[in-house]
Amino acid sequence: MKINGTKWVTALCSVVLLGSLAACASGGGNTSQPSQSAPAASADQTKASETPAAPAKISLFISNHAQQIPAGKSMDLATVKYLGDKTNTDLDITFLPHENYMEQLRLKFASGDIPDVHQVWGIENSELVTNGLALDLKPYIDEYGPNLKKYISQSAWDAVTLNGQILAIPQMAQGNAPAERVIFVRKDWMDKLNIDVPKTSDEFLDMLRAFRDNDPNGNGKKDEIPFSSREKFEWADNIFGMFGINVDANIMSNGEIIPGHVHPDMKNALGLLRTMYEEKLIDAEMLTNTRAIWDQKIKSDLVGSWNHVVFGVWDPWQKELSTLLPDKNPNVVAIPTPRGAGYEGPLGRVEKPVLKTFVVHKDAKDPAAIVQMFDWLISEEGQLFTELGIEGDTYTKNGDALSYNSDADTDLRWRTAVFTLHGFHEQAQKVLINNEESYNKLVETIKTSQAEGLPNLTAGMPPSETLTKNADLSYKGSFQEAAAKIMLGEKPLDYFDEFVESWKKQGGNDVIKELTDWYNANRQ
Amino acid sequence: MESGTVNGAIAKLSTGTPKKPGFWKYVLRHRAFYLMLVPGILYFLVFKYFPLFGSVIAFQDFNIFKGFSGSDWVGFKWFEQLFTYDKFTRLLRNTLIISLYQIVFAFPLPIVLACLLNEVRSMAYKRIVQTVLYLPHFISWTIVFGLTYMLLSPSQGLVNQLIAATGGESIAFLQKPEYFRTIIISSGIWKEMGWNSIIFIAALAGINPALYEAARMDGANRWKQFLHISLPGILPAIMILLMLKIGHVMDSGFEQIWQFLNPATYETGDVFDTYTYRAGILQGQYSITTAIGLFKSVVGFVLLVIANRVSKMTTGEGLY
Repeated sequence: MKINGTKWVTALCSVVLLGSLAACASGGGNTSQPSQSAPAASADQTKASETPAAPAKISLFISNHAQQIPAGKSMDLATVKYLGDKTNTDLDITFLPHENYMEQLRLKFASGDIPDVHQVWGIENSELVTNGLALDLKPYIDEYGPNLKKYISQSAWDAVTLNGQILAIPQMAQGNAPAERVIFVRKDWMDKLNIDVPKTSDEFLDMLRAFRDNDPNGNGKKDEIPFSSREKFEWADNIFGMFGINVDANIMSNGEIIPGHVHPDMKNALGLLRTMYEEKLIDAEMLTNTRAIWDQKIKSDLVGSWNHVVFGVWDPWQKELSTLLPDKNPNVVAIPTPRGAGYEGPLGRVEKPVLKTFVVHKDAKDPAAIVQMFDWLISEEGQLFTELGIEGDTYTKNGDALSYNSDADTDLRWRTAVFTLHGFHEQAQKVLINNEESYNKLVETIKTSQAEGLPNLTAGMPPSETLTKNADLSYKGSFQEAAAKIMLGEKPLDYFDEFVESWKKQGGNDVIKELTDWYNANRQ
Repeated sequence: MESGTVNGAIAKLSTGTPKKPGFWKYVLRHRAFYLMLVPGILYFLVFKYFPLFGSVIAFQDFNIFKGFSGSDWVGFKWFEQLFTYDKFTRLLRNTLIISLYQIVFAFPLPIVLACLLNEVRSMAYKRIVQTVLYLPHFISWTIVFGLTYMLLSPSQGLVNQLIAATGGESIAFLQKPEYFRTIIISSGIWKEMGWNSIIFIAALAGINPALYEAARMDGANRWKQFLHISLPGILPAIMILLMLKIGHVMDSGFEQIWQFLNPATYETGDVFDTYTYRAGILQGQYSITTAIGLFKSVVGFVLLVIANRVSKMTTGEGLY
């Protein structure tokens, strides 16, 4: 028995070892693949130039925008196939997971896997841009991009221009509302409790107190969360915006450009958050709320107010709450950002002239085809495609009138998230929402957002050297802990001054200097 | 069996031929064994030794487009940044304390469990218990965190509902630094105890039954049998695993801690691994990441050597 056992173990070990050898061999095969496929691709290219009808091959890395995208080759997806056919391109799109998109992108680059086109949010996030490996698209746009020039605003171009070079194709701010986030409130709760729209931070607190005490969801339990937010202080922007700051915005103070999270006005905003936490007006779990949990709480009729993107007013919030709570007649509206006590100046979310951008690699084989593809996406036809899908399948045109079949349009969510470049297409939005009241609600929300916003003083600035090298100085670093402690009441509000002092010593002074110098040199 | 033939062959060689045969001749004669060794050696070379050269980026300002050869050399800049980081002592303290707790509380439990299971007479019961205790090992930390959240959340958590029902004030356990380590260690025990006990159960099964028989003849009761046969029998396994654990004292289980950590619990829970991830990987700063990794490895290596010495002096057992 024993001997047999040993034999088995030996046999097993050798099998495992052989397996690992096979794994190495196949691993080796994989790494050598790019070098093999490169000449093959260029062979295709020469073929393509012989027969001009062959579609141009373009490889792209794009975030999946946290949407379910059907698996498989991208050209097998009807939506991508349609785009490819329309623009005579062969699109090889790799959708990377949204949650750690930037990390995955960097790892791909580090292993030498660089596509023709990759998506980032601001160009300063692209390693290709910071390393001078992004293609200047200006000549191509001048020649092949009439629609791009027509529909994309100057402020959006400014945000992707460095030293006179256009380094990316931008997506316009949704709804042409660059202050992209607003405070949403359950208007039905406000009406039930006879509350007027709060104009100041104190009135806002009073509204939340009423939500806390008067059982607006009517279940007899005191389970209301007056205001809910998410981890990393990232979805409380308009709360900070009551005092004219955002954690990810750089704000002027006494002639210096200072990151929002260490700006003097941050102290007042943290004071407000502290009060909210103390009085149980803000979600006690906001430091651990993930997107999914936060989402769930709002949809469970527990949350009175929250911070989200302008377009969220219809999809998901109004749309889903109406479906989930039909007998409550939920009514989601955006309110103008209330004015913080003792603060004067602009309010709300920092303006983001672009939502995301597409950067083209210097060595891309056919930049003209790439620009033409994007140009089609923002043409009248392309806008209808991104909003409503494939003509004949999901929508039909009757002269000037459009009719849309939402049941057939299964790709809606990811198609609009991935491919939209334009700001707002009135007619398409109308048939998409298919409800006069909700459409007006969206328009109202856009107007609310357009009426406010903090100027983005450093849009288009290359990343601060000090901040990239010492990531702890960003708002995702030690600020998180200091802010959490102040909010939870474990440290006094004055601890903020201490934090800022130590932040400055750790290298923060250099950050402020870099920001201010760049601003003075480029934007004054 | 195999080792028997090898020894036999060596014995034959040394007695049969007085002249020592050449090395290659020897290899040729036992080519089957050497052939079997090749994949193993290759594995270590390719996956363990070759990547060691990557550590040079700890001394470079590594840029993914310039690569190892093109990046600028910066000497000890990253180590300086790490050692002068104002929370460095806290990172070190948290890492060491969590590891120490793991050694003190989490390490002995699988041994106890294995010994207890070893004494169970009903095989069916033993198998059922074993299976139930293994299962959590196959659940990912993300899900374990989800379960913990369901238990401890102030709004929906079972524990807090209990506290509220008995008239207490609900506690945000996951946002309190004072509970963090307890939660980490106990969820770690819940998840891994059964799995870690396998090796000790195997070691116990390997003890020669004749020893127990002899002890019973001499009138030893079960406790005495455990004390004088079972425990000494698995001591080598215990020592080896303990030393390996000490070698990993600077790794405190990234996947787990990252799931549970939030800014409110950095105070007691922020360790090197999570800091590396936050400041390095997420920002694409591979050089500082490597510098921290190198620092951790050196500390782990030194501790391992010391532990091995101590163990050899006291119990006679050692890794090498």
